[in-house]
Amino acid sequence: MARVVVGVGVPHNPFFPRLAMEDGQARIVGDFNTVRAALEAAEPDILLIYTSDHFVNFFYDKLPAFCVGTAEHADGPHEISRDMPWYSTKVAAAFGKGLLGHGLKSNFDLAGAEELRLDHSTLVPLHFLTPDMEIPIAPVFINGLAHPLPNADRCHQLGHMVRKYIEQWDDDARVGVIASGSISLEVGGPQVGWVDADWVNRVVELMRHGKSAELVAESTTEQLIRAGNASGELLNWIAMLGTLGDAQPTYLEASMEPAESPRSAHVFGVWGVVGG
Amino acid sequence: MSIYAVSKFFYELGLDEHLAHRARTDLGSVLEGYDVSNSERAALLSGDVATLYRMGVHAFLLNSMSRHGLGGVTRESYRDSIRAAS
Repeated sequence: MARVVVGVGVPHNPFFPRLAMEDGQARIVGDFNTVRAALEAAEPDILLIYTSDHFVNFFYDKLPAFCVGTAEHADGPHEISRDMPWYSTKVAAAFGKGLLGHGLKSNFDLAGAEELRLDHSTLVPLHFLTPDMEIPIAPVFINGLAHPLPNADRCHQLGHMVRKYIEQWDDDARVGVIASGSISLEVGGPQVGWVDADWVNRVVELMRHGKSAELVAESTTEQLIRAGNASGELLNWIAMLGTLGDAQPTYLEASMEPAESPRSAHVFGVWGVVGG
Repeated sequence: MSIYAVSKFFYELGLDEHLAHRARTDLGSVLEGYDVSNSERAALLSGDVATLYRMGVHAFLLNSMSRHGLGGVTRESYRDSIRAAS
C-alpha cells in the first residue's frame, strides 16, 4: 500500500526564481533549502501538489473547483510573463486517474484534465524543491482565486479523501505532499502591497498547534477575501492538512517584511510523518 | 456582452506573445476580435483600470494593463488607479 511520507507548504511568488538567482543570500533561498532537505530525506516517489491555477490552465469558460491532473506529462510555465526556466515533468497519470475514480465513488465530483498547462503556482515550488524534475507529480488543482471558491471545510474533506485513496492504492509508493500558495497576498488589486498580518499570524499559530478544525472554521470566504485576492491559496494548505491527518509541523516559519507594516508574508512549513 | 469578453481578452493575452505584441502596438485592432461593449472598449483604450475593475475584471487579469503598457498604463499609474478603485 502507498503511504504519505511528508508534507510541505511553500509560497510560489513568480519573482522568487529571479530573486534567488540575483541574491543567493535571500531569506527565501534558505527557507526553500530547508524544505527541500526535508522533502529529499523523505524519499518520495510521487509528489502530490495542491495548487491553484492562475488563469493559465483554466478560465471562466471551464472553471472546476477541484481538478486532478491525469496527463502523462506536463510543462510550463505557460504564462508569457514568466521569469524562470521552462520545465517539463512527468505526471503520475495512473495515480491521478485512480484518484479521480476514487473521488467520484467517494462523492467528490472532481474534474479530470488529461492536458495540463502548468503555471508558476506549480513550477516555482518545483523549481526550488525538485529542480531535476525526476519525481512524477500529481497535481490537484483547487480554485483559490476566481470566486466563488470552494469552502475550506470541503477542501479539508478533500484532503481526507485523498489520504484514504493513497492508503488503499495498490502500489508501494511513498507520496510527498506539497501545498503551494500564500496566506495573505493581493495581486494587482486595490490592496496591493498590504498584508493581513493578524491573519497570517493566526493561521500560523493554528497550524503550529495542529488545530485544523479551528483553521477551517475561521477560513471563511469573507476572511479569505479580506486577506487579499490570492489568499484563497490557503485552501491548498488546508487540503494538505487533511491529507496529513492534521499533524503538527516539524518546521514552520513566517517571514513578514517590513516588520512594522508588512508588505509581504511568506510562510514555509514541513510536516514530517512519523513512520513515513 | 458581459465583462466576460474583456476577461477573455486578458486571459488569451497572458498566454500568447504574438497577441500581446499586437495589443501593445494596436490595441483597438485586437479588440475588434472580441465582443466587448462600447464602454468596455473605451475603458480599455483609455487605460481606465479602475472602471474595468469595478466592471468585474479579476485583478490577476487586469494586471496585464500595466505589464504590457496597454492604454498608456504604467506600473505607477496602475497602482495609483487600482488603489483608488476600492
